[in-house]
Amino acid sequence: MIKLENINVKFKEKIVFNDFNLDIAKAEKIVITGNSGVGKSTLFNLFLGFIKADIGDIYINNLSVNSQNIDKIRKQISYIPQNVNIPFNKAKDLFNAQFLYSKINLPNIEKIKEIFKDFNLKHTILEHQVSSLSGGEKQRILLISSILTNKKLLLWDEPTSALDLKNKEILLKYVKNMENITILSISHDDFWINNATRVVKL
Amino acid sequence: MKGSVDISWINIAFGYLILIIPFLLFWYYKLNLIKDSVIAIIRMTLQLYLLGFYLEYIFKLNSILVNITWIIVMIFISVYTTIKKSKVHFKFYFIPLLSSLSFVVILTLLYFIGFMIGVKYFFNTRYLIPIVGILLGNSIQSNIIALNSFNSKLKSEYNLYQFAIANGASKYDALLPFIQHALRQALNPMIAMTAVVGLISIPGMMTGQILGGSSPIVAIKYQIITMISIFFAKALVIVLTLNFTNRFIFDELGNKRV
Repeated sequence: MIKLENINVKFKEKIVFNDFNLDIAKAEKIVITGNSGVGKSTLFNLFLGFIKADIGDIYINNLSVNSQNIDKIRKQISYIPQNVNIPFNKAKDLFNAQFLYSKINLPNIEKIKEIFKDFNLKHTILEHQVSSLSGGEKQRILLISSILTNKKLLLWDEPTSALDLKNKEILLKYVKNMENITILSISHDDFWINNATRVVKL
Repeated sequence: MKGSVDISWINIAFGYLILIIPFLLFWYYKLNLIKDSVIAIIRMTLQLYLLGFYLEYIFKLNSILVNITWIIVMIFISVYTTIKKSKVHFKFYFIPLLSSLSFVVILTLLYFIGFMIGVKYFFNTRYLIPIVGILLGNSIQSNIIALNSFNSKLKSEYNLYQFAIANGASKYDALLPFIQHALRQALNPMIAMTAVVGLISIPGMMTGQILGGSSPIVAIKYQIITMISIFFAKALVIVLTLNFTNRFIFDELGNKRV
């Protein structure tokens, strides 16, 4: 699913990756962990084409991350950033965004109601202003829409940082049922790390 | 059409004299504005004097080549002014601004001078130069507002843009909220201005024409055409500028260069 070959990344004088290699198979549920500044977010930025490696190649679904393929690659990815304060107006806009961006049909309302209930949210929250939501609510809304996109590769940056144990367990239950989906998350959360199929410590 | 009464240079000197009153007020209120005001007034005088001198000359010449050269120089100055005032990189903005301004000026001139006013001789200096001046002046203003609003919103909400492209949005969709914001910011003052024209002030060009001896009815017709052409040029120039610059300020992976 994802292959990194001899990646070298340097920011000014600081070497972040030196001949780094990583192979991720389809359907793995990987957690990337490590101290701050070791390059966890840099790794996501490389996958998403936000930065370019100085040397080395990155393949996602056999497509090399470059200007020709980047649109195709991004369409296969659902990405949730660490900072969930994304300037949307209504919760509905936050929820719908990922579907609209990739031109995927919105899920039907029954499905939405059901999954929102699982995550201890009322679906009517979608009518609220984003500014009135808590961090945990925004995070759950983004995670739900990421799950519902049915994309094959999910990149989640600190997905449990604002969740309580009950919601973490719900998220884990969903993740375990997503058999064909590859999920990469960056996390410092022991609960989340302990439940990964593989942990990559940078 | 009779011309207006000429003003003697002595009378103009008396005109300058009356500025002593505002200067005394600046001094009384310790505004530190006297130096800047004096510089501004000297600049205004020199610039207008040069302009008058130059216009007198090119009006007499009424030559296609001189007029076209004048327009080209004005467009280059406008591009330079816009880049300076928007504090953007020359490298990325020069070509887009030059293209959008040139395209809009040419199109507007063709339609308004060639078709609506319907002058026989398109390159007639009397029509060409003032209209180009008005179009460029207004376009610079709108372009600066549009570029400033676009860039400052993109800077403060770059995470929204990244969230959009990371999740598969096309560049058009990802930039849409930023373009909409910039267009609204730049177009709203123009719409407001268009709505109140003639209510609270007589527009400068119309004043000039009436002082120059035209009948008020002819003057308002010209004013209407001018307002429409400004409306058209501003709207088009902003859309083109934003779309052209967006081809230069992002790298091939869609990341903003600067």
